Amino acid sequence: MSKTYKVKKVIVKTEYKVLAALLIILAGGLVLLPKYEKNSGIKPEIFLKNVISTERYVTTDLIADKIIKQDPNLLLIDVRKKEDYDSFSLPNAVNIPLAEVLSSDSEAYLNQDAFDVVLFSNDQCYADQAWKLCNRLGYKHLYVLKGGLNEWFSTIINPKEPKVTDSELAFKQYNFRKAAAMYFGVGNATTTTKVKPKKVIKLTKKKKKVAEGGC
Amino acid sequence: MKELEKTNRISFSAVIIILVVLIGVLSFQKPNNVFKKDKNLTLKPIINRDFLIKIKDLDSARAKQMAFIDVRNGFEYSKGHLKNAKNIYTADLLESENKQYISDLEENEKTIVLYGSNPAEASGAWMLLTQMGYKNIKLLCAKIQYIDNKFSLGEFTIEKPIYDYAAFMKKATSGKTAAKKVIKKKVIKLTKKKKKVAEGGC
Repeated sequence: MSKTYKVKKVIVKTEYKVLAALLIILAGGLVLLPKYEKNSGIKPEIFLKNVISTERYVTTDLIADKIIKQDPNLLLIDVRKKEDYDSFSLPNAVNIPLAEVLSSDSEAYLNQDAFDVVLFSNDQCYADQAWKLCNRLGYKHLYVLKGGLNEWFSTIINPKEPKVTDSELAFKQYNFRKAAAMYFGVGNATTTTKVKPKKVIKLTKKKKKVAEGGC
Repeated sequence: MKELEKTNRISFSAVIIILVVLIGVLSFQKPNNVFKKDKNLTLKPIINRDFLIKIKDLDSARAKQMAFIDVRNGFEYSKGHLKNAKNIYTADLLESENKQYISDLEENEKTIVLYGSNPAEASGAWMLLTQMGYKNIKLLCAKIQYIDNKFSLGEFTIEKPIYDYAAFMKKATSGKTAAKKVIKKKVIKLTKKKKKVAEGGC
Protein backbone atom coordinates (compact mmCIF):
# COMPACT_ATOMS: atom_id res chain seq x y z
CA MET A 1 0.00 0.00 0.00
CA SER A 2 1.48 3.24 -1.03
CA LYS A 3 0.92 6.34 0.98
CA THR A 4 -0.85 8.20 -1.80
CA TYR A 5 -3.40 5.44 -2.14
CA LYS A 6 -4.27 5.69 1.54
CA VAL A 7 -4.72 9.44 1.29
CA LYS A 8 -6.96 9.00 -1.72
CA LYS A 9 -9.06 6.46 0.14
CA VAL A 10 -9.65 8.94 2.96
CA ILE A 11 -10.68 11.63 0.47
CA VAL A 12 -13.08 9.23 -1.20
CA LYS A 13 -14.65 8.30 2.13
CA THR A 14 -15.27 11.92 3.11
CA GLU A 15 -16.63 12.63 -0.35
CA TYR A 16 -19.25 9.94 0.18
CA LYS A 17 -20.26 11.46 3.49
CA VAL A 18 -20.58 14.96 2.05
CA LEU A 19 -22.67 13.75 -0.86
CA ALA A 20 -24.92 11.68 1.36
CA ALA A 21 -25.41 14.63 3.70
CA LEU A 22 -26.28 16.91 0.77
CA LEU A 23 -28.85 14.49 -0.56
CA ILE A 24 -30.45 14.12 2.86
CA ILE A 25 -30.64 17.88 3.30
CA LEU A 26 -32.23 18.23 -0.14
CA ALA A 27 -34.77 15.54 0.63
CA GLY A 28 -35.66 17.35 3.86
CA GLY A 29 -35.92 20.61 1.96
CA LEU A 30 -38.38 19.13 -0.51
CA VAL A 31 -40.63 18.07 2.34
CA LEU A 32 -40.56 21.57 3.79
CA LEU A 33 -41.40 23.29 0.47
CA PRO A 34 -44.26 25.72 1.00
CA LYS A 35 -47.66 24.48 -0.01
CA TYR A 36 -49.12 26.53 -2.80
CA GLU A 37 -52.77 26.79 -3.69
CA LYS A 38 -53.76 24.51 -6.42
CA ASN A 39 -56.10 25.74 -9.07
CA SER A 40 -59.15 23.68 -9.81
CA GLY A 41 -60.65 24.03 -13.26
CA ILE A 42 -59.36 26.43 -15.87
CA LYS A 43 -57.05 29.35 -15.14
CA PRO A 44 -58.63 32.63 -14.05
CA GLU A 45 -57.02 34.43 -17.00
CA ILE A 46 -58.72 32.11 -19.48
CA PHE A 47 -61.98 32.30 -17.57
CA LEU A 48 -61.88 36.08 -17.82
CA LYS A 49 -61.35 35.93 -21.57
CA ASN A 50 -64.28 33.53 -21.94
CA VAL A 51 -66.50 35.76 -19.84
CA ILE A 52 -65.78 38.85 -21.91
CA SER A 53 -66.34 37.04 -25.17
CA THR A 54 -69.93 37.03 -26.40
CA GLU A 55 -69.41 33.84 -28.35
CA ARG A 56 -71.60 31.88 -25.95
CA TYR A 57 -74.82 33.68 -26.88
CA VAL A 58 -77.13 32.18 -29.46
CA THR A 59 -80.18 33.98 -30.83
CA THR A 60 -83.76 32.84 -30.47
CA ASP A 61 -84.11 32.70 -34.28
CA LEU A 62 -81.26 30.22 -34.55
CA ILE A 63 -82.68 28.02 -31.82
CA ALA A 64 -86.20 28.14 -33.30
CA ASP A 65 -84.74 27.09 -36.64
CA LYS A 66 -82.84 24.25 -35.01
CA ILE A 67 -85.89 23.00 -33.12
CA ILE A 68 -88.01 23.05 -36.26
CA LYS A 69 -85.37 21.22 -38.23
CA GLN A 70 -85.02 18.78 -35.35
CA ASP A 71 -81.30 19.23 -35.11
CA PRO A 72 -80.05 16.06 -33.46
CA ASN A 73 -77.15 17.85 -31.82
CA LEU A 74 -79.26 20.34 -29.94
CA LEU A 75 -79.92 19.85 -26.25
CA LEU A 76 -81.94 22.52 -24.45
CA ILE A 77 -81.53 22.86 -20.72
CA ASP A 78 -83.92 24.89 -18.60
CA VAL A 79 -82.14 26.20 -15.49
CA ARG A 80 -85.27 27.67 -13.88
CA LYS A 81 -87.05 26.13 -10.93
CA LYS A 82 -89.06 22.99 -11.37
CA GLU A 83 -92.45 24.72 -10.97
CA ASP A 84 -91.62 27.14 -13.76
CA TYR A 85 -90.39 24.33 -15.94
CA ASP A 86 -93.57 22.36 -15.35
CA SER A 87 -95.84 25.25 -16.31
CA PHE A 88 -93.98 26.11 -19.51
CA SER A 89 -90.76 25.26 -21.22
CA LEU A 90 -89.32 24.95 -24.69
CA PRO A 91 -89.99 21.71 -26.56
CA ASN A 92 -87.70 18.84 -25.61
CA ALA A 93 -85.99 20.83 -22.90
CA VAL A 94 -84.47 19.14 -19.90
CA ASN A 95 -84.79 20.73 -16.48
CA ILE A 96 -81.69 21.29 -14.39
CA PRO A 97 -82.42 23.97 -11.77
CA LEU A 98 -79.51 26.32 -11.13
CA ALA A 99 -79.10 24.87 -7.64
CA GLU A 100 -78.37 21.47 -9.11
CA VAL A 101 -76.05 22.54 -11.91
CA LEU A 102 -73.03 21.19 -10.09
CA SER A 103 -74.54 17.95 -8.88
CA SER A 104 -73.18 14.73 -10.25
CA ASP A 105 -76.47 13.86 -11.96
CA SER A 106 -76.37 16.94 -14.13
CA GLU A 107 -72.74 16.50 -15.01
CA ALA A 108 -73.75 13.89 -17.57
CA TYR A 109 -75.74 16.55 -19.42
CA LEU A 110 -73.29 19.40 -19.09
CA ASN A 111 -69.90 17.79 -19.41
CA GLN A 112 -70.15 15.88 -22.67
CA ASP A 113 -69.09 15.97 -26.28
CA ALA A 114 -72.20 14.73 -28.10
CA PHE A 115 -74.50 17.77 -27.95
CA ASP A 116 -74.45 21.52 -28.28
CA VAL A 117 -76.08 22.38 -25.00
CA VAL A 118 -78.11 25.59 -24.87
CA LEU A 119 -78.93 26.90 -21.40
CA PHE A 120 -81.87 29.19 -20.90
CA SER A 121 -83.85 30.88 -18.14
CA ASN A 122 -86.29 33.79 -17.95
CA ASP A 123 -83.88 36.54 -18.87
CA GLN A 124 -80.51 34.80 -19.37
CA CYS A 125 -79.13 35.90 -16.00
CA TYR A 126 -79.34 32.47 -14.38
CA ALA A 127 -78.40 30.70 -17.58
CA ASP A 128 -75.37 32.92 -17.84
CA GLN A 129 -74.33 32.16 -14.29
CA ALA A 130 -74.79 28.45 -14.84
CA TRP A 131 -72.63 28.82 -17.95
CA LYS A 132 -69.93 30.59 -15.97
CA LEU A 133 -69.93 27.97 -13.25
CA CYS A 134 -69.55 25.23 -15.83
CA ASN A 135 -66.99 27.13 -17.86
CA ARG A 136 -64.74 27.43 -14.86
CA LEU A 137 -64.79 23.66 -14.57
CA GLY A 138 -63.74 23.43 -18.20
CA TYR A 139 -66.98 22.08 -19.67
CA LYS A 140 -67.29 22.59 -23.40
CA HIS A 141 -70.07 22.91 -26.00
CA LEU A 142 -72.21 25.13 -23.76
CA TYR A 143 -74.22 28.08 -25.01
CA VAL A 144 -76.69 30.57 -23.57
CA LEU A 145 -79.97 31.57 -25.16
CA LYS A 146 -79.69 35.33 -25.61
CA GLY A 147 -82.45 37.14 -23.75
CA GLY A 148 -83.88 33.86 -22.48
CA LEU A 149 -87.55 33.07 -22.57
CA ASN A 150 -88.51 36.75 -22.47
CA GLU A 151 -86.72 37.21 -25.76
CA TRP A 152 -88.23 33.98 -27.06
CA PHE A 153 -91.75 35.28 -26.43
CA SER A 154 -91.18 38.75 -27.79
CA THR A 155 -89.46 37.52 -30.95
CA ILE A 156 -90.69 34.06 -31.88
CA ILE A 157 -94.10 33.64 -30.24
CA ASN A 158 -95.20 37.27 -30.45
CA PRO A 159 -93.06 39.00 -33.08
CA LYS A 160 -93.40 42.70 -33.80
CA GLU A 161 -94.52 43.56 -37.29
CA PRO A 162 -91.81 45.51 -39.09
CA LYS A 163 -92.55 49.00 -40.38
CA VAL A 164 -93.20 49.56 -44.04
CA THR A 165 -89.90 51.36 -44.29
CA ASP A 166 -87.92 48.48 -42.83
CA SER A 167 -85.56 46.42 -44.91
CA GLU A 168 -86.50 43.31 -46.80
CA LEU A 169 -84.47 41.33 -44.32
CA ALA A 170 -86.68 42.48 -41.47
CA PHE A 171 -89.74 41.23 -43.36
CA LYS A 172 -88.12 37.92 -44.09
CA GLN A 173 -87.26 37.55 -40.43
CA TYR A 174 -90.81 38.47 -39.47
CA ASN A 175 -92.25 35.89 -41.82
CA PHE A 176 -89.94 33.25 -40.44
CA ARG A 177 -90.95 34.14 -36.90
CA LYS A 178 -94.62 34.02 -37.75
CA ALA A 179 -94.24 30.59 -39.28
CA ALA A 180 -92.16 29.44 -36.33
CA ALA A 181 -94.85 30.68 -33.92
CA MET A 182 -97.37 28.54 -35.75
CA TYR A 183 -95.06 25.59 -35.46
CA PHE A 184 -94.89 26.16 -31.71
CA GLY A 185 -98.68 26.11 -31.50
CA VAL A 186 -99.81 29.73 -31.78
CA GLY A 187 -103.34 29.94 -33.24
CA ASN A 188 -103.41 26.22 -33.61
CA ALA A 189 -104.60 23.96 -30.87
CA THR A 190 -104.13 20.65 -32.57
CA THR A 191 -100.42 20.54 -33.11
CA THR A 192 -98.54 19.39 -30.15
CA THR A 193 -94.87 19.29 -30.55
CA LYS A 194 -93.46 15.90 -30.11
CA VAL A 195 -91.54 15.35 -26.99
CA LYS A 196 -88.59 13.16 -27.20
CA PRO A 197 -86.51 13.26 -24.10
CA LYS A 198 -82.94 12.95 -24.98
CA LYS A 199 -80.69 10.38 -23.64
CA VAL A 200 -77.26 11.35 -22.62
CA ILE A 201 -74.88 8.56 -22.43
CA LYS A 202 -72.48 8.87 -19.64
CA LEU A 203 -69.01 7.85 -20.42
CA THR A 204 -67.21 6.29 -17.60
CA LYS A 205 -63.62 5.36 -17.79
CA LYS A 206 -63.00 1.79 -17.33
CA LYS A 207 -60.81 1.04 -14.45
CA LYS A 208 -58.46 -1.76 -14.80
CA LYS A 209 -59.47 -4.67 -12.77
CA VAL A 210 -56.97 -6.19 -10.54
CA ALA A 211 -56.57 -9.76 -11.50
CA GLU A 212 -57.49 -11.95 -8.69
CA GLY A 213 -56.87 -15.57 -8.07
CA GLY A 214 -56.49 -18.07 -10.79
CA CYS A 215 -54.68 -21.20 -11.43
CA MET B 1 -7.57 1.83 -8.33
CA LYS B 2 -10.87 0.32 -9.46
CA GLU B 3 -12.55 1.68 -6.38
CA LEU B 4 -11.65 5.21 -7.41
CA GLU B 5 -13.30 4.84 -10.81
CA LYS B 6 -16.47 3.65 -9.11
CA THR B 7 -16.49 6.64 -6.78
CA ASN B 8 -16.21 9.00 -9.71
CA ARG B 9 -19.31 7.56 -11.23
CA ILE B 10 -21.27 7.76 -7.96
CA SER B 11 -20.30 11.31 -7.19
CA PHE B 12 -20.99 12.36 -10.75
CA SER B 13 -24.54 11.04 -10.65
CA ALA B 14 -25.16 12.47 -7.19
CA VAL B 15 -24.09 15.91 -8.34
CA ILE B 16 -26.44 15.64 -11.32
CA ILE B 17 -29.37 14.72 -9.07
CA ILE B 18 -28.64 17.71 -6.85
CA LEU B 19 -28.44 19.98 -9.89
CA VAL B 20 -31.76 18.73 -11.25
CA VAL B 21 -33.51 19.33 -7.93
CA LEU B 22 -31.96 22.80 -7.65
CA ILE B 23 -33.05 23.74 -11.16
CA GLY B 24 -36.54 22.48 -10.39
CA VAL B 25 -36.78 24.54 -7.22
CA LEU B 26 -35.39 27.69 -8.83
CA SER B 27 -37.52 27.53 -11.94
CA PHE B 28 -40.73 26.93 -9.99
CA GLN B 29 -43.16 29.74 -10.59
CA LYS B 30 -46.13 30.39 -8.42
CA PRO B 31 -49.26 30.92 -10.50
CA ASN B 32 -50.37 34.55 -10.38
CA ASN B 33 -54.06 33.92 -10.05
CA VAL B 34 -55.84 30.93 -8.64
CA PHE B 35 -59.42 29.99 -8.07
CA LYS B 36 -59.33 29.39 -4.35
CA LYS B 37 -62.97 28.85 -3.76
CA ASP B 38 -64.62 25.52 -4.14
CA LYS B 39 -67.17 25.45 -6.95
CA ASN B 40 -70.05 24.67 -4.60
CA LEU B 41 -69.31 27.67 -2.40
CA THR B 42 -69.92 30.00 -5.34
CA LEU B 43 -73.27 28.47 -6.08
CA LYS B 44 -74.61 29.11 -2.60
CA PRO B 45 -74.82 32.93 -2.68
CA ILE B 46 -76.28 32.78 -6.19
CA ILE B 47 -79.17 30.64 -5.06
CA ASN B 48 -79.71 32.60 -1.86
CA ARG B 49 -79.42 35.80 -3.89
CA ASP B 50 -77.46 37.41 -1.07
CA PHE B 51 -74.82 38.61 -3.48
CA LEU B 52 -77.14 41.33 -4.66
CA ILE B 53 -77.32 44.85 -3.32
CA LYS B 54 -80.54 46.67 -4.04
CA ILE B 55 -80.83 50.36 -4.82
CA LYS B 56 -82.59 51.06 -1.53
CA ASP B 57 -79.60 49.64 0.36
CA LEU B 58 -77.49 52.48 -0.98
CA ASP B 59 -79.14 54.94 1.39
CA SER B 60 -78.86 52.79 4.47
CA ALA B 61 -76.17 52.95 7.11
CA ARG B 62 -74.33 50.11 5.41
CA ALA B 63 -73.61 52.35 2.46
CA LYS B 64 -70.72 53.99 4.29
CA GLN B 65 -68.86 50.71 4.22
CA MET B 66 -69.34 50.26 0.50
CA ALA B 67 -66.75 50.83 -2.18
CA PHE B 68 -67.99 50.95 -5.74
CA ILE B 69 -66.27 49.54 -8.76
CA ASP B 70 -67.53 50.34 -12.23
CA VAL B 71 -66.76 47.41 -14.51
CA ARG B 72 -67.82 49.09 -17.74
CA ASN B 73 -65.19 50.29 -20.13
CA GLY B 74 -63.54 53.69 -19.81
CA PHE B 75 -65.72 55.28 -22.46
CA GLU B 76 -68.97 54.35 -20.72
CA TYR B 77 -67.49 55.42 -17.39
CA SER B 78 -66.64 58.85 -18.71
CA LYS B 79 -70.26 59.39 -19.75
CA GLY B 80 -71.40 59.09 -16.17
CA HIS B 81 -70.84 57.01 -13.06
CA LEU B 82 -71.69 56.69 -9.41
CA LYS B 83 -70.02 59.06 -7.01
CA ASN B 84 -66.79 57.61 -5.56
CA ALA B 85 -66.79 54.75 -8.01
CA LYS B 86 -63.50 53.55 -9.41
CA ASN B 87 -63.38 52.36 -12.96
CA ILE B 88 -61.90 48.90 -13.45
CA TYR B 89 -62.94 47.37 -16.75
CA THR B 90 -63.72 43.66 -16.45
CA ALA B 91 -60.87 42.77 -18.79
CA ASP B 92 -58.35 44.56 -16.57
CA LEU B 93 -59.42 42.96 -13.30
CA LEU B 94 -56.42 40.68 -13.08
CA GLU B 95 -53.81 43.41 -13.47
CA SER B 96 -51.67 43.60 -10.37
CA GLU B 97 -52.51 47.19 -9.43
CA ASN B 98 -56.23 46.47 -9.63
CA LYS B 99 -55.87 43.30 -7.60
CA GLN B 100 -53.90 45.31 -5.06
CA TYR B 101 -56.67 47.93 -4.95
CA ILE B 102 -59.29 45.27 -4.33
CA SER B 103 -57.34 43.49 -1.64
CA ASP B 104 -56.69 46.85 0.07
CA LEU B 105 -60.42 47.43 0.17
CA GLU B 106 -60.87 43.94 1.51
CA GLU B 107 -58.40 44.63 4.31
CA ASN B 108 -60.29 47.76 5.28
CA GLU B 109 -63.38 45.58 5.61
CA LYS B 110 -65.24 47.41 2.90
CA THR B 111 -68.10 45.85 1.01
CA ILE B 112 -67.06 45.93 -2.61
CA VAL B 113 -70.02 46.65 -4.85
CA LEU B 114 -69.62 45.95 -8.54
CA TYR B 115 -71.90 47.45 -11.12
CA GLY B 116 -72.25 47.53 -14.87
CA SER B 117 -74.95 48.79 -17.19
CA ASN B 118 -77.02 45.89 -15.87
CA PRO B 119 -76.37 43.11 -13.34
CA ALA B 120 -75.60 40.63 -16.10
CA GLU B 121 -72.65 42.71 -17.30
CA ALA B 122 -71.06 42.80 -13.88
CA SER B 123 -71.85 39.21 -12.94
CA GLY B 124 -68.79 37.89 -14.77
CA ALA B 125 -66.53 40.14 -12.72
CA TRP B 126 -68.38 39.13 -9.56
CA MET B 127 -67.99 35.45 -10.34
CA LEU B 128 -64.28 35.82 -11.06
CA LEU B 129 -63.44 37.74 -7.89
CA THR B 130 -65.60 35.57 -5.65
CA GLN B 131 -64.10 32.39 -6.97
CA MET B 132 -60.63 33.78 -6.49
CA GLY B 133 -61.41 34.02 -2.80
CA TYR B 134 -62.09 37.73 -2.30
CA LYS B 135 -64.63 38.33 0.43
CA ASN B 136 -67.47 40.78 0.61
CA ILE B 137 -67.94 41.19 -3.12
CA LYS B 138 -71.48 42.20 -4.03
CA LEU B 139 -73.35 43.03 -7.16
CA LEU B 140 -75.54 46.08 -7.58
CA CYS B 141 -78.93 44.99 -8.84
CA ALA B 142 -79.78 47.99 -10.97
CA LYS B 143 -79.61 49.14 -14.52
CA ILE B 144 -77.96 52.32 -15.61
CA GLN B 145 -80.12 54.78 -17.47
CA TYR B 146 -79.61 58.28 -18.73
CA ILE B 147 -82.52 60.64 -18.21
CA ASP B 148 -81.87 63.96 -19.93
CA ASN B 149 -78.27 62.85 -20.26
CA LYS B 150 -78.04 62.54 -16.52
CA PHE B 151 -76.73 59.35 -14.99
CA SER B 152 -79.21 57.51 -12.79
CA LEU B 153 -79.95 54.05 -11.50
CA GLY B 154 -83.13 52.23 -12.40
CA GLU B 155 -84.79 49.29 -10.69
CA PHE B 156 -83.94 45.96 -12.19
CA THR B 157 -85.28 42.58 -11.19
CA ILE B 158 -83.31 39.65 -12.38
CA GLU B 159 -85.07 36.65 -13.80
CA LYS B 160 -88.43 38.38 -13.99
CA PRO B 161 -90.63 36.90 -16.71
CA ILE B 162 -92.27 39.64 -18.79
CA TYR B 163 -95.11 37.34 -19.70
CA ASP B 164 -96.92 34.64 -17.83
CA TYR B 165 -95.68 32.07 -20.31
CA ALA B 166 -98.22 29.34 -19.65
CA ALA B 167 -101.16 31.75 -19.70
CA PHE B 168 -99.83 33.43 -22.82
CA MET B 169 -99.53 30.15 -24.64
CA LYS B 170 -103.05 29.20 -23.54
CA LYS B 171 -104.39 32.37 -25.07
CA ALA B 172 -102.23 32.07 -28.15
CA THR B 173 -103.53 28.62 -28.90
CA SER B 174 -107.01 30.15 -29.37
CA GLY B 175 -108.45 29.06 -26.08
CA LYS B 176 -108.82 25.44 -26.98
CA THR B 177 -106.19 24.41 -24.58
CA ALA B 178 -108.47 21.98 -22.81
CA ALA B 179 -107.95 19.69 -25.74
CA LYS B 180 -104.23 20.10 -25.59
CA LYS B 181 -102.49 17.29 -23.96
CA VAL B 182 -99.96 18.13 -21.37
CA ILE B 183 -97.07 15.92 -21.90
CA LYS B 184 -94.85 15.44 -19.00
CA LYS B 185 -91.24 15.58 -19.77
CA LYS B 186 -89.04 13.05 -18.32
CA VAL B 187 -85.57 13.73 -17.23
CA ILE B 188 -83.61 10.61 -17.53
CA LYS B 189 -81.45 9.94 -14.61
CA LEU B 190 -78.38 8.07 -15.40
CA THR B 191 -77.03 5.84 -12.80
CA LYS B 192 -73.52 4.71 -12.75
CA LYS B 193 -73.07 1.08 -13.16
CA LYS B 194 -71.18 -0.44 -10.40
CA LYS B 195 -68.33 -2.45 -11.47
CA LYS B 196 -68.12 -5.94 -10.36
CA VAL B 197 -64.98 -7.03 -8.76
CA ALA B 198 -63.44 -9.78 -10.73
CA GLU B 199 -63.67 -12.96 -8.90
CA GLY B 200 -61.12 -15.60 -8.87
CA GLY B 201 -61.51 -18.79 -10.73
CA CYS B 202 -59.78 -21.22 -12.92
